Amino acid sequence: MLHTGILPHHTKWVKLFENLKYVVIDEVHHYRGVFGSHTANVIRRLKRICRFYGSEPRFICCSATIANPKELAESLTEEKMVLIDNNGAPSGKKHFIFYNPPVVNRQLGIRRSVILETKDLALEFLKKGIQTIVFGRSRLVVEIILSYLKEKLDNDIVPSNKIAGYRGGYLPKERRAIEKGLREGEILGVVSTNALELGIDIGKLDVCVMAGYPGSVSSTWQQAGRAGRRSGVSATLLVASSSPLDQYIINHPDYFFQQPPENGLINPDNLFILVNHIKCAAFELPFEAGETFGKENLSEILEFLEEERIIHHSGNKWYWMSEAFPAEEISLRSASSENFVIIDITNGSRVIGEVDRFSAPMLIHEKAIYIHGGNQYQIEKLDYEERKAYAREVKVNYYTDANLAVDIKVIDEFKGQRLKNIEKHHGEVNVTAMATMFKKIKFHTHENIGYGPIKLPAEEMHTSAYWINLTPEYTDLFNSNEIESGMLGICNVLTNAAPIFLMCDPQDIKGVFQVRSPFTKLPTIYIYESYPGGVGFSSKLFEIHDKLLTTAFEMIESCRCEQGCPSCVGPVNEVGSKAKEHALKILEGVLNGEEYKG
Amino acid sequence: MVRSIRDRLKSSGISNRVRNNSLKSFTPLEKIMDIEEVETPFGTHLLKKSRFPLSYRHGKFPLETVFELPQDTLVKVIKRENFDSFNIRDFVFLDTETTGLAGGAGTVAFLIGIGYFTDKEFVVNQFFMRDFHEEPSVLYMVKDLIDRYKGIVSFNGKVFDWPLLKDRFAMHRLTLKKESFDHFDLLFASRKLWKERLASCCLSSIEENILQVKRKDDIPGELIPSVYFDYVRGDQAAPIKKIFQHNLEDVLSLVTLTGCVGTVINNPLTHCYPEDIYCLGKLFKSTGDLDKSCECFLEAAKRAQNPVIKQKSLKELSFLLKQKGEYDRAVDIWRWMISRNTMKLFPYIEWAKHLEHREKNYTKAIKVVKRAIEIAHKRRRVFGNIKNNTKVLQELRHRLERLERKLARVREFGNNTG
Repeated sequence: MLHTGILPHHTKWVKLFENLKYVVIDEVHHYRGVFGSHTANVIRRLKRICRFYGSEPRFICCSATIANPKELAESLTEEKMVLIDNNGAPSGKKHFIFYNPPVVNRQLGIRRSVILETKDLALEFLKKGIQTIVFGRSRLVVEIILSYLKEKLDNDIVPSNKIAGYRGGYLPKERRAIEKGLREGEILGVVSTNALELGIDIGKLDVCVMAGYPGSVSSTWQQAGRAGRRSGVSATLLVASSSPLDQYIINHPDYFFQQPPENGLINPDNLFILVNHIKCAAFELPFEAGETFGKENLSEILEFLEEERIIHHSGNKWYWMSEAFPAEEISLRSASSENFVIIDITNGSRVIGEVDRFSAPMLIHEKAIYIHGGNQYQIEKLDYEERKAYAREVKVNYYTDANLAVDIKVIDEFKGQRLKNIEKHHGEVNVTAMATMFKKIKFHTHENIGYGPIKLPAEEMHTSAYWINLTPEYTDLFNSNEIESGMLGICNVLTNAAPIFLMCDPQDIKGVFQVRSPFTKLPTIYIYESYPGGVGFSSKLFEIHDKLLTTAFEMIESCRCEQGCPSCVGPVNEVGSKAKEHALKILEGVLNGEEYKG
Repeated sequence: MVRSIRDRLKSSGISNRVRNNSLKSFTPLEKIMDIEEVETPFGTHLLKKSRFPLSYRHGKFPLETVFELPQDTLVKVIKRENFDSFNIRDFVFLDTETTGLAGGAGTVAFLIGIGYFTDKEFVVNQFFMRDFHEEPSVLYMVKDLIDRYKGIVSFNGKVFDWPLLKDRFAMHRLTLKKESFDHFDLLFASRKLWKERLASCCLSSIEENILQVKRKDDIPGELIPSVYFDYVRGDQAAPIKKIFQHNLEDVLSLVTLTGCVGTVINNPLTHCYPEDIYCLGKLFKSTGDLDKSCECFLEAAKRAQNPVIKQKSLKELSFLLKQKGEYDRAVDIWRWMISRNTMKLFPYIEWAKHLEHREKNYTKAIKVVKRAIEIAHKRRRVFGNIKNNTKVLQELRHRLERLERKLARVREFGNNTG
C-alpha cells in the first residue's frame, strides 16, 4: 500500500503528509532479513516525502521478544529509540512440551517421522474437539499433514471440512475465509506454514503442534503464542525432526528457555535493494544535490542510474526519466516479482496457486506432484517463458522431491583472516543452481519409488557468502577420504547451526562443500545467502565464526548416534560411515589442537 | 580490494545497458522553430503561440461551428454537470504530452497545449519545458492562464490530463484559484454518440470517421516519451517539432469535435447513420426528452439495414410507447416482430403481459407464452446456456401456470353463472 500506492502518488495525500504525527509499526521483529531491508528503505522514502511536506513523524514500534529490539527498530527507522520492555498482559497456564520421536533405526540414527508423529498428536486433540493449529516447516509438509489428517478424520466424528490448510500460494479469498472460520470456531484445525505465525488475526486457539523446530527461538515463541487464551490451560508441543538443529534444541531445553533469543538482522544498504528503492524515490521526488539516502554514496548510484538512462540530471536535481512505474517491479517479500502461476486444467482452467521464480524448478517441474488444499495435481507442462504451469488433478500414493546441483564462484573477497589451521572469509559470490532430477517418495513409508530428470535452465545469482578452508599444512595431515566425508559432515552441521544465531529461516542460507575450491585451492565450505546481494547473514557468520564452530562441534559430539546420522553430520548413505569421526577429528584440531605451520 | 559501486551493480545483474555518452551538440529548438523563450519568477521555458481565424477549417468543420450550439446542448450530453450560463468562451481546450501513462509523482507533462477564443480568433499556447528544471516555470504560466477561465474541454482529460496537472501543481505548491472547474470530456460524449458505429472511440478514430481530419506525418503517441527523453539527453531537436504539431492538431480537434457534437444533437434526424440516430435516441431518453427519443428510435428502425440496430431500436421504441401509454402502437411493434419470427423473447413476453393485464385475454396470452417457451428452448440450442436463460424460462413457466389458473377460475366462474 505505502510502497506502490501512497508514496508514488503522494500528491493525492497532501493532507496526510502535512499532518502526519505518528507512525506505528507493529510486529517489528517481523521486518528482518530481506523483507526488513526492503521495509527500511520504504521508511526512508516515507520520511523523505514527509520532509517535503514539512512533517516529521515520530515512530512507535512494537516487537515480540528478540535479542535486539532497540537495535532493529533503530536500523529500520534510522531514528533514536527508547526501549520499553515490561509486559503486563494477563495469560492463562501454558504447557510447553518437547517431544522427541523414538529412534527406529539406531545404526542409521533414524527417528520416527516427524510428520507421522505430528499427525498422531494432532489427531488426539482434534478428535476431542480441541481447536488446534499445526505448523509445518514447508508447503509440502503442510500439505502432507493436511491430507493425512483429512484421511483419518473422514471416517471419524469430525467432518474433514473442519480442517483446513493455510500457506503462501493459496489465493487471498481462500485465506480470508479460513481466518474467519478460525476466529468464529467454524474451523477446528488448521495446518499452516509460518504464514500464520503473526500479524493475521485468527483469535487464540487451545493447542499448537509444531512439526519440527521452526528455525529460531522467536519464531517458536510466535507460533506457540497462537495457543493460549487469557484464562484456561493451553499447550504447545514441539515435535523434533532428525535434523541436527532440531536435535540440538530438543536435547538442550535450557538453551531454548534461557538463551537470549536471536538477533533481528537487516541490511538496508544491500546494493540490490537500495538501488531499487532509490529508483522509487527518484520517481516520487527528484533528488537534490547533497541529499543522502542510505549509507552508500548516493551520487555515485545516481550517476550509474543516469548511465542506465533511467534518471536525468538537470539544474541541480536528478529527475526520474522513464515511462516505467518502478514500485510495481519490486516485490518487498521476495527476490523476484515474477511468480509462476499454477493452472488446474482438469475441468476447464483456473488458477489454483503461485510459486516464486526461485522455487519453481524445485516445486513445479514437469511431472512434479503439486499438492494444494490436500488435493494432488501433477504438473503436465511448465511454460517457463510465460511463467505458467499446467496441472491436472491426480490420485497417487507418492509425492516428489527435487535435487539441486549448486556451483559457486568467488567474485570478490571483502574480508579474510588466517586463524589456527583454518581461514575464514567473507565476500561476494556467484551461485549457479540447477534442479537436475526428482525422486518419487511414497506416502507413509517415505521410501523412494522412482525418479525422473528435470530439464530446466540454471538460475544464476550474485550474493554474499561466508566461507572457510583448512590451511594447506593442516590439510596435509588428512587423507582424501577423511577430508571429503569430514568436511561434508561439517558443512551439513554448520548450515543447520547457523540459523540458531541469525534469526533466519533455514532456507535463507545454504551450504556447499568443494573438495578443492578453484578459488582457495583447498577444501572449502561455503555458506551463502539465498537472496541476491545478501542481507548481512554472511558477515555476521564471519564475526561469530568461533562460536559457530564450537556449537557445531558440540552438536556432533553430543549426538547419540554411532556413525553419524541426519541429526548431526548427515545420513550415512550420503556422507559415508566415518563422517562423524572425521568431522570431530578435523574440528578438534581447529578448536583445541596446536597450529601446524609449513 | 573494494570495488566501485558501478562494478558491483554491473555484476549484480541490475545493469542491462551499454554505456552511452551522447554529447550535447545539437541545434537548439529555438533555432529551427518559430518559438519564443519566456521568463517567469520561476525561470524560463519555451512558448509557441499559434493563431487561427474563426473560419479556419480543421477537417470537415470550421472552428466557429462551436458557436452554433445552443447553450443547453452540451449540458445534455453530460447530464449531471450543471453548467449555468454556459459559454464556450469561458472554456480552455486542454491537451498534454507526458513522459508516460503510468501516472504517479514521476510522470510529467512536458508539453501543455491550451487553446482559447478571443474576439476574432482562436489562439493556442503551447508551453514546453526544455529540461525538467523548467517545469515550475511552465506550470506557473499554465496556472495563470487557467485561473482566468471557468472550464475545461478535453479528450479523456477527466481521467488523465487534468488529474496529472493537478498533481504537478500540488508537487510545486501552486494552488489554483478555484477548487473545481466545469469539465467537458469529449471522450464520454463521443462514446455516447458513436459507440454503435465505431469500433473504437479514440481520438484518431473520431478524426478519421467523424471530423474527417487527415493528419500528415503524425508521430504515434507511444513514441512521444522516448523522443522527448532523447531530446533532453542531447539528441536532435527536429523530432520535437512533430510533437508540437501533434499536440496542436489535438487541440484543434477538441474545438471542431465540440462543434460537431452540438450539430449532431441539434439535428438528430438529418444524420445519415441509423446507428448514430439510435445512440441519439438513447441520449434523449437519458435526458428525459421522450418525444425526441421516440422520433430517433422510429427513424433508426426505419432506416436500419443492420438487423441488430433495427431490433434494438424497436425494443427501445416499444418500451417508450408503453411508458407513454400508447399501448396500441407498442402492441403493433411486438406483433410485427412476432410475425417476422423473431428470436428475441421480449415481444412475446411484453405482448403476453399486455394480453394478461390489460385485455384479460388469457387463452391468447397462454398461446403467446407457450410460443415464448419454445423460442427460449430454441435459443438455448442455438446459443448454448447463456446468462439468464434458465431464469427467464422459469419466469415463463410461472407466468404460464398463473395464466392457466386464472383461465380455470374464469371458466369455473362462467360455469357457475351459466
